[in-house]
Amino acid sequence: MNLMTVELTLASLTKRYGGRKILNKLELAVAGGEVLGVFGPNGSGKSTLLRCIAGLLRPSAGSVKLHVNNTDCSAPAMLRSKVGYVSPELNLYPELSARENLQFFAAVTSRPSKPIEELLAHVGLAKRLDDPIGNYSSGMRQRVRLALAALHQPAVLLLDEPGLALDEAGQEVVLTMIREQQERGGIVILATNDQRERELVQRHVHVG
Amino acid sequence: MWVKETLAIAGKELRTEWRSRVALASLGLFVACSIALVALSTARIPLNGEGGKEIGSQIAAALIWIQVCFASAMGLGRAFVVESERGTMTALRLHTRATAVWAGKFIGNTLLLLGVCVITVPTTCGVLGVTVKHPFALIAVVILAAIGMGAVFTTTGALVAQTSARGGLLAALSFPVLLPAFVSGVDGTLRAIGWRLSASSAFLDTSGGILVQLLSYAVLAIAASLLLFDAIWND
Repeated sequence: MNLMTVELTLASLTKRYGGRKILNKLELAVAGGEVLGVFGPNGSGKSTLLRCIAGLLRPSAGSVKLHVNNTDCSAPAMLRSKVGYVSPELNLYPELSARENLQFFAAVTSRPSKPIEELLAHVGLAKRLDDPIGNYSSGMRQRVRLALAALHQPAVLLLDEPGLALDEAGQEVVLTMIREQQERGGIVILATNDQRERELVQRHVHVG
Repeated sequence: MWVKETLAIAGKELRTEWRSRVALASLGLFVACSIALVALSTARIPLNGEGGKEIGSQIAAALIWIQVCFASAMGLGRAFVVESERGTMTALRLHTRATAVWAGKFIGNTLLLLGVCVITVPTTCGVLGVTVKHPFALIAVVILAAIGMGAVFTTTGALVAQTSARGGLLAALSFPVLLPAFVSGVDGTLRAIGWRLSASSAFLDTSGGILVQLLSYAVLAIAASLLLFDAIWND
């Protein structure tokens, strides 16, 4: 297994919506292999923080710096290509099957880490990979999101309530994914209220 | 790499559209209804006599582009709105480059628009009893105009997807930008049909400038969209 060297630094990260400050001058440095928890009540800005780190939201002030294997990957497009993001607000194409969805994203990223069938089997979808996602339950959709996040072996894995709608076996998939990311030298940032997931957190920040 | 990414997005657009048939259904219904209305409205107008053919040509040129314009506004403007409404935009933004997304959607939109033209142009001409004197010129006019319109609707569709006032805004944003393409499209269609051209006149000798105008419009629309789209996509 190839180990990555990853460093993520947030410098005075601030995000405002209108007059309301969601994130206020957040300072943070996360090293490879670390699992960082983001805790706070509903609406405190956990998802906003993850979206800023993913390069999906432009901060109002401050910066997100990411270095992977000593290469600066801080430009938003580069940043987005280095993260795996799981969030309830991220949906896949309901007309396409799980296999077709992942094949599409593998074709546009051109760097699938494993064969798609293997990735889907890893999240427990080996038997239903050709069904349209529109026919999936919410737990199965969450499993496809997890497979998509792992598609390109991201340097930073951003998990926003990853255990949402998952059964016991699904939650085990999340825990395995976190451990594998750690072993590869990658970063895991986890916004969760699940006690089992929290146990893997080595350090945490409170927002809100 | 960019080409592969673009083709993958275009392929996804066509495949999801074929399976959901959201735009296809609304476009198909609109085209069928408008052709039926044209046939009913013109049934009692004598278009076969002296002067009637000229009127028929003018009506055909206008109706073809009215149908194409409204069909585009209904079908093409939704390419990005659908992504935004379904929550698939986030996954797309994470994994793709802005210009590849635009180009993929543009290819999908333009193919859809050409599909509309393949049905509306011959049917409208047939219903109105119009004989096309320069069919290859008409094909060239339609293809070039569709490329320009596809580019404009793709870009305005992306802008509109980020706002809440979607329906009205698309037409308001697109129509002024599309006006030159419509003027050239109607003019080129009239001339390709043979309006006020003697049978022996070669299309290119008298009306080649229209093709150049349409080509220039398409190139400008594509170039401007590719330059602007990064800012639209990332902000």
